[in-house]
Amino acid sequence: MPINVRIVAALCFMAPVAWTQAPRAGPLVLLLPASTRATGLGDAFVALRDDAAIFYNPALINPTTNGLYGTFVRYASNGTMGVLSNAVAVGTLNLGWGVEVLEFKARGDAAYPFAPMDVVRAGSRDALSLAAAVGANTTVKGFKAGVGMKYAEDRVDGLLGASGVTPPLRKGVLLGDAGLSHPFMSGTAALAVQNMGDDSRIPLPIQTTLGWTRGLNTSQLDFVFAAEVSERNNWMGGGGGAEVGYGWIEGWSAALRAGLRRTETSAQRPLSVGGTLNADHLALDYALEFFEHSGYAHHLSLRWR
Amino acid sequence: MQSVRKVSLSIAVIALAACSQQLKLSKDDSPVVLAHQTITAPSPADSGSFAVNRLYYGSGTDKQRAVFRDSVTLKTKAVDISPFASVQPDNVNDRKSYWGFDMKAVPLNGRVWYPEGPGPFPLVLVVHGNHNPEDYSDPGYGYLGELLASRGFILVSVDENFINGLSGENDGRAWLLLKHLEAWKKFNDSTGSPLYHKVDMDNIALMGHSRGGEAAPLAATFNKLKFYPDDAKQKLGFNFNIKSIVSIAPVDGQYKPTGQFTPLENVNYLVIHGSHDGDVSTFHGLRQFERLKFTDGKPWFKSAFYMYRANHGQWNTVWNNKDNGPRSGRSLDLRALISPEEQRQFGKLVISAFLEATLHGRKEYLPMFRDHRTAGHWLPKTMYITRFQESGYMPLAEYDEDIDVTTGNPGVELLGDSLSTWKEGVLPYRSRGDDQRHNAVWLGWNNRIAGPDTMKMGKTASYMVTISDSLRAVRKPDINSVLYLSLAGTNDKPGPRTVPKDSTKPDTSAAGKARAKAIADSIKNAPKPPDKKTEPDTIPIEITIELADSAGHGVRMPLSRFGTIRRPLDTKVFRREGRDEQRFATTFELVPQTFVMPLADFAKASPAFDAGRLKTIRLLFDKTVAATVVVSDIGISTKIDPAFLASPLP
Repeated sequence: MPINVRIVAALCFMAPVAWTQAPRAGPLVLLLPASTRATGLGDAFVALRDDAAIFYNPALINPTTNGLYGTFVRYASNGTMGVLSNAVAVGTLNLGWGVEVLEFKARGDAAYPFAPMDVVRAGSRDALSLAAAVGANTTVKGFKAGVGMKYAEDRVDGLLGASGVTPPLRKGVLLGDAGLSHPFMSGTAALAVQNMGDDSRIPLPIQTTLGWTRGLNTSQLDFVFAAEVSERNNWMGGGGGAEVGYGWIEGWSAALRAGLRRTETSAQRPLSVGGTLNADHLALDYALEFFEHSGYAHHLSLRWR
Repeated sequence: MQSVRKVSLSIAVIALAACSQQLKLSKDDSPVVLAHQTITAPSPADSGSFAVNRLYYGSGTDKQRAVFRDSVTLKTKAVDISPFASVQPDNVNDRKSYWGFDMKAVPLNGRVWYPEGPGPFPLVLVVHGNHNPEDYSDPGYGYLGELLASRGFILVSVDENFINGLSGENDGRAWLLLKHLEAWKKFNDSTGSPLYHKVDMDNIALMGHSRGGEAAPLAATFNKLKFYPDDAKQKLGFNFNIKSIVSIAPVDGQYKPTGQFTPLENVNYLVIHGSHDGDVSTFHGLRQFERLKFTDGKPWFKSAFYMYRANHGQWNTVWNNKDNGPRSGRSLDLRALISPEEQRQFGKLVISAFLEATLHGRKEYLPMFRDHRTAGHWLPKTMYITRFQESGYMPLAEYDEDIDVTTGNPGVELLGDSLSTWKEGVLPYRSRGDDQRHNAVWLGWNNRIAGPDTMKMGKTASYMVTISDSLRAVRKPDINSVLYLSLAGTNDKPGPRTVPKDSTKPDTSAAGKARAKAIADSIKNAPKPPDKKTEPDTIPIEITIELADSAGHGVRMPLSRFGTIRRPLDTKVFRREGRDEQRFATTFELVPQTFVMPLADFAKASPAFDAGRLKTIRLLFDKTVAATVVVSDIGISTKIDPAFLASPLP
């Protein structure tokens, strides 16, 4: 078995086999895939340079794809998320920023902090979860080192129900991220610690992720392999995915991808699929995420370079 | 559901065909231009009579190259190239890990094809250019090795793969060639060597492709220097007898010794370049051609071939049609390319003929460098533009001398008559912002007078070069002399001449009024100036050359007798519609064709014309109503080797 495949397999199976649910944490937006491409790759994105890297690993903020990246996600018929991100180079620093806003209807009986499945289960309470992040990275002794800061917040309207009054809720928190990456085994290995902050008001998803990715170009096709394991409050997650791309003329290409991941809850399905169409300066990403009871989340991104 | 399928299918078809442009090539005139074969010698592209031997020499320890580790017949010592070529600090360890050596100890590796026999045989070194370092380039000239060795040359394909991927290293490539020559001197002098006394070290040619095409002439220049120009701590002082240089699709100016373009002198020179080069997309070798000067009175010559539909890589069997990397087909229009076999056949033909002529003294091949139509049956069927000059050439007008359009070189007057365009300027390359570092004159004419009468012509436009008596006394032209003219047609067509203004008093008579009305109507009805968006003019250009002696005896001959006058060759390198226009200033390269015109031909046409008293050379624009041409130089040679003039076309 090739060593690259062994690494992917090892990273995927390092997560415990036990099907325990992840401990609840918030704000909710931090638990959802921020990138359409990442969604298609099992959300194993810690070691990938991309426009949305600000949400995964500040060490991989990548200004070479200078442009704006916008994502629209529709969670069943209950929730909508929008994401914008961008990166620029200033001297030896790569700077990035990103904003995520999730709007959905929370069920009256949904416990707080919310879990990802609450986005697809139809409810009646207006809920908003948002995050705004900035980050920077630079090269230090051959390592890409990055730091990021973000503000994240959950807001939920109050509800008058049969069981009484549920008061409105608003919880915000300032968080810090840090990451490293380095070429490794013909690919990139990366480590990120995310969502570090004061968890006295809300249990935070403080997460450590180790991942590896590799691109492989054959004479006709481009392949990307990605895998990662993560630890969050004693819960082990992880995932991996593969992408195959083909360009038939300069500037035009398409890619298909599929990923598996260990999900937060049993209501989410491990498999996700996606694709991309690149047409010169424009790139259109799509990914499909599966939930219980034939629920879907459609992720659609537009990148303008 | 059916409509969804239709829409999906339509989108897929559009995406798959996205923006690909139609193949556009200039009309092939080779059935006419290459219809003759007047050189009767055997083709230089045919195998010779020698049996071919092969061997490798090198370090014997090469980590990556098995042939230079396990199969070397002659071992060489590593050399320190670090003063001439350096690796980016980030890559030092990776490169050393891959190759097993760093820049301080690079190997002298070569693969050799040599003839069976006692010799001595001329030595030809060929070096590849920049390419994927791990996709080894040196085996790609095997087809030349087999041919040349069979014809009595030793061909060495030099391994410089380990400096591929660097930048600013062409001086290192050149220096390495000279270090190989040092090794060859040892091979030739060592009694135990299988090459002992088989190498004619007085007959050496250097050949290079792409960056190697800059390295080869640079090595010839370094060869004559005592010290490295950018750091005199590095001694050169090689002084080999390098007689000939071949540059294949070369770059130029990537390395500039002391910040200047590399000077070249006193060596035979051949450059070949493809119009559809997807890597070095401008004919940079023309600059080398222009810079090469013959100053020592020896019989050198230089020649340039621009081959239509040839690319960058097909002269190397490893590179082939991957000018833009392994996925060239996605960006480059490979449909436009001539076949690899035909492109290499051309390479074999001209390179072999050039080396036969310059190293073996086979003068029967010289005419094809003066006029390639003399080898019409040998050349693959496509279009060629050629430049030529031999060491007897003396310029009359090269347009670099001054900014006065009425003067050429000292003793030469220039005069345009009835021209729509008469201007001098630098010859551009098709790449934006790049030029040939050589000036030329633009001559445009339209002999038609504006008005409804499309047959009404004015005075024939012309451009005259007048040689002063004193210059003629110095140059001493005679019946054996030749005139040089380098000229390119353009796509520009000036509009008809306007009617001259009537400066006399108004004629108030009835006849006068009628005349005035007729003139006014003719102006009103005159065709509008050509719209810049219209298709370029494609009518063939013909020009008459009129010579006159100081006694006034004139003689005229069509310029096409001495070569092919062409408009620019349509060149679209890229697959995407609009990409060529985006990348280049024009979709053609302006390459002047050199016409070599023996004065004897004119004297034969008009015995009264005295070539020894040549006074004027006039370009008479009488055969084509309207066109614009670019003239890059006009000259005369009184010492041309008659062998160049042999095998004239009927």
